[in-house]
Amino acid sequence: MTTRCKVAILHKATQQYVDAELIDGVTADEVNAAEAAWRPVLDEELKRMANESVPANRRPEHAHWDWRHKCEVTEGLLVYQMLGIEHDSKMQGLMLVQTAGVFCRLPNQKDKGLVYVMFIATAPWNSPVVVANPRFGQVGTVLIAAATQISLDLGFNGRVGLHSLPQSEDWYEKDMTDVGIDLKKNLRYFEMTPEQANNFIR
Amino acid sequence: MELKITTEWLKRRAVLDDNAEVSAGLPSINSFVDEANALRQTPGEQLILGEAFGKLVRFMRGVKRLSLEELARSADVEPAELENIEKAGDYRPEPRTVHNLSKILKLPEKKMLELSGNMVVRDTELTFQAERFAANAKHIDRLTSDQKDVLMAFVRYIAESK
Repeated sequence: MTTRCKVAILHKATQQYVDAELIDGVTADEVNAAEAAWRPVLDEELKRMANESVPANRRPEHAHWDWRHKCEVTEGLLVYQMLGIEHDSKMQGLMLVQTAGVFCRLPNQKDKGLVYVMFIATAPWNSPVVVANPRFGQVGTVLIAAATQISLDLGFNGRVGLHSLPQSEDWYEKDMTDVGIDLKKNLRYFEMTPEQANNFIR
Repeated sequence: MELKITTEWLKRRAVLDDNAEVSAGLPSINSFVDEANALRQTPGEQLILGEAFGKLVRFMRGVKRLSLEELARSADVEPAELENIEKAGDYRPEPRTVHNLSKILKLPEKKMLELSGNMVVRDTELTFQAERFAANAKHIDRLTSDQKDVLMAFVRYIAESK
């Protein structure tokens, strides 16, 4: 079942907040439409970066992600929830979370249930590693707030976990605990404790 | 879901979030694909596990001397859904429902998620034990003492599982 609720995101050019919709239960059609809108922008920017010899560590690390594939793989499985933020009939960001079967790694939270953010990304025109002047800001903030809310609703007290891509580590360490490099995934793993969740959304 | 954040909250965070890149997730989704595909067990396996899950809930409700309505109320589940869980082996409850039932019935959530088809079953012993349990729990209202022993052994197996 899909639900929608009103949220705001920051229109960066005017520094004004604009209305958007948080979609819980993004449909396959909506994901297809998002990919169709995102892919040309990403491809064009990747081409520009190649022409300008932009170093690999400054190119988007998630450029190869295909959200249609993620949607197909999880279709019909209740432990996965796809969320998105829509504004101006365009998807501004997507997030896939797993709501069961994932447990905390922090020693003082060990084995307690959490909401695991499997994938999160903004539309390429909102990403500072893709474009010089992102169109909308705080799209990721609203999505992570939604993951925290799901965790609260499920009785996980706001516990959230995720593997950050290197370009996003600086942001996640502001609100979450850096558990260190997960050698199996070769990515830094972050966890939000109930106290951090409380500080984050208060 | 009701998201409680406001524009004021976003404004307070604006400095922290300025020009933040937020991408997170595994660079390769192969392991995730395997995990998700493994959740799609064969229909036969799903039925065995689902039936055992329903019978386990029904059996533990009896052990705790709770009516269907009482358990539904404590676990914040609709009585009709609980009835479906107990009777229909092919009914797959939502993770939240399994979480609440595990809490009330004091059974490990991970095993309950596996039985209910919400998590990958990595332990082949679980499927074997579940099949044996479901077979013995067919007539749960008139169990022989041998059948009760088998059922209690399954509950112990589940409770002691990590």
